[in-house]
Amino acid sequence: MADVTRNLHRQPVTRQQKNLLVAEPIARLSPERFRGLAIDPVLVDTLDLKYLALVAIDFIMERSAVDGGATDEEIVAFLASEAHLMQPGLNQEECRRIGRVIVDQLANARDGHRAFSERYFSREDGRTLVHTFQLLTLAVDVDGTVRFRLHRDAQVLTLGMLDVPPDFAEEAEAIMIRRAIERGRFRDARTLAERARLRSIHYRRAIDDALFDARRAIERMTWSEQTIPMLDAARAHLQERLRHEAEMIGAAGDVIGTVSGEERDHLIDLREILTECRSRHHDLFMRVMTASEEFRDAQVQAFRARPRRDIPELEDQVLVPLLSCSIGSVAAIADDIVVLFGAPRPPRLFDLTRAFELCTRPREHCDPDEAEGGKFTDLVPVAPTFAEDEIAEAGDWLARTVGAAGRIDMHGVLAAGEQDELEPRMLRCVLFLMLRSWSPGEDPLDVVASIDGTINHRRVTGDNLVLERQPEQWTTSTA
Amino acid sequence: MDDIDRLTRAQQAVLLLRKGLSPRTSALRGDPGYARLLALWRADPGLRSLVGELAPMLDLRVLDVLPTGIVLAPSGPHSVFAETLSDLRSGLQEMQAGVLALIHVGIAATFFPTTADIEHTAAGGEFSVSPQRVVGVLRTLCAGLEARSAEDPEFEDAGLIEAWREIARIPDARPDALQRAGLGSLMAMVKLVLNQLGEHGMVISTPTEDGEVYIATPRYRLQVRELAANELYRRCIEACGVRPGA
Repeated sequence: MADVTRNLHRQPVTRQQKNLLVAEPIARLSPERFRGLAIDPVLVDTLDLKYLALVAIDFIMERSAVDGGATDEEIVAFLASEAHLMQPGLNQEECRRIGRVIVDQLANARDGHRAFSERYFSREDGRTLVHTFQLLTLAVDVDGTVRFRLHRDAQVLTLGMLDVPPDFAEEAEAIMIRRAIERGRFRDARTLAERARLRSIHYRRAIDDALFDARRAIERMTWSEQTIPMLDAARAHLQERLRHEAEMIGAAGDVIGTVSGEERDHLIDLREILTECRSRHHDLFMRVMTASEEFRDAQVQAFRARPRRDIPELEDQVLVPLLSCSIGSVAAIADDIVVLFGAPRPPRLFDLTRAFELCTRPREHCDPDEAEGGKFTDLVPVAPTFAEDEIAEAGDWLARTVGAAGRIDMHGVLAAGEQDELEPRMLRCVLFLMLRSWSPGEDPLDVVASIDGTINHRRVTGDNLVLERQPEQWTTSTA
Repeated sequence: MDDIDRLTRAQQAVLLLRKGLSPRTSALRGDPGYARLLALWRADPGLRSLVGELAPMLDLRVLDVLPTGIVLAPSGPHSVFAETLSDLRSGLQEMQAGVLALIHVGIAATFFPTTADIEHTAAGGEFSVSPQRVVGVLRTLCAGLEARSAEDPEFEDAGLIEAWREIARIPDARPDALQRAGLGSLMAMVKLVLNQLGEHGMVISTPTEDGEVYIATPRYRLQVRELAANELYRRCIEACGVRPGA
């Protein structure tokens, strides 16, 4: 008799044990965890860390209804605002650091976002077993965004550790809401509807997970035995939900006109919440309806003739043997190896501006690691186009000419040069000096340079540069 | 989309290859023409075969098609589309080139330690890999090899040094190299390779309180599964003369 009693209680205890373990990562969130973050411990002690963890889970669940999850940035920002609300003495950066710790803890970031493992005693097996579970999972969306999603284990936390299947919970909730409306308990109906809303999100998550698992194991799923019954059950459940929700929305609408004040507000809220649930269920229904086709296509793809693959174990069969080779042998095939992990990259075009910047930037900005193994080649300066005396002579002539004219453009300079019978090379040097005057930092003449139309001359083409004496000072010093 | 349908099959094939040369372009992000090309690829065996014939002429390999785009890979280091170690850093010494190549394999082995990991997405979502974890994997394997190692006079007389000994000599981190992609420490080299993989759309980084961690993209898994794992195994046997379990 005693054995029978023990048997009766064995299974529920195991389930409760596992459900308790799921809360373990949150239970471990102590102020000690924040000691290295340079935040005043007194302020940290005032925070309810478990609340923050639970609202993070709620937040991600809410976001799941919209975007299929929440980004790291969204969660940290949300938790930072909650932390600040709880302790206004914390500054924004401290709040963000607290949010970051909470996210990392829930996602087990320190262990590479893998599942948590906790030990428990299984009476049925007569030994200690390990329960692995996750609260948040990382996923890369098709658009390349990394999002956190709520693992089904985390749903246990948000549903009062009942561990009731979400479809059954939805049905039970619907009955309770109907009863509450019939009895005029609109506040209760609204509270129940809030929970129903969460359950509808959970149900959507459960269906998404089931569809994902089925797609992931498309080769192992039996179409008629596993996929079709799962889709049929989901379709029947959703049809039923849609019908009930339409009835409840109608019932609430009928009563709204007959009540006033707070009760009326509750009913309006109730109707909005139910409408949102109905909309979510409708979308899910459409998804389930089209899933059959998707699965058929996916299975056709999966069973198409593929070359037989025999994939080696990367660590044992590739990395370890390579580590045992001589470094020279590995270096000889280094490019072959690197290319295997690369996407095709179109050849880069040589960017002259960038090259110039690299060649001329100050030495201290260069990578000090280059000093260890890089090869250096002396930079041979380009020979100057004009000799220093030529530049001085051209500068003097130009300074005199601008000084005499007060304002002169390139046409004028060319005419004056030809009149003074300057050598073509000297005239070229003069024109270069004019161009240098355009940049105030390099201006050898201390003039005001501007542009006046264009010039198309056999010696110079482009913008027509105008040089003008400075209003108050003039110097004859040149380059 | 109509524009795509009006193209000849050859034009569609070339356009699809061109799209594949920008691995970070996604057909799901405002490029209906690309999405249409992918739909045609799935529906039209003639287009698939034409793309398959054209790709090798460009020194490319067609690995597969994901919802986001066609997955191409350079056919080898000689391909004009291949990014080799000299593109990553010029003037690399033999030791540095060898270690960077091993880090590439080490990163793949950290993401996918077993064949099952390569073949299927983890049921609990993707897990992340930190540079520290990659360094840890390499260090553990090197320590294992050191414990099993016996002095081999022939090897030493030939002036050869096993790769694990070279890695063992590199410091984990250097204070001035922690934050940068350099070659002064194993950690910096791992970060350099992870950043390169990120530029190729193979991994995505996400922050944690302990620093950046990386998540493998579907493209990386596909490339390791369809190409890298077997090719690595073949090259490992050819170049190093080693066999499984050696």
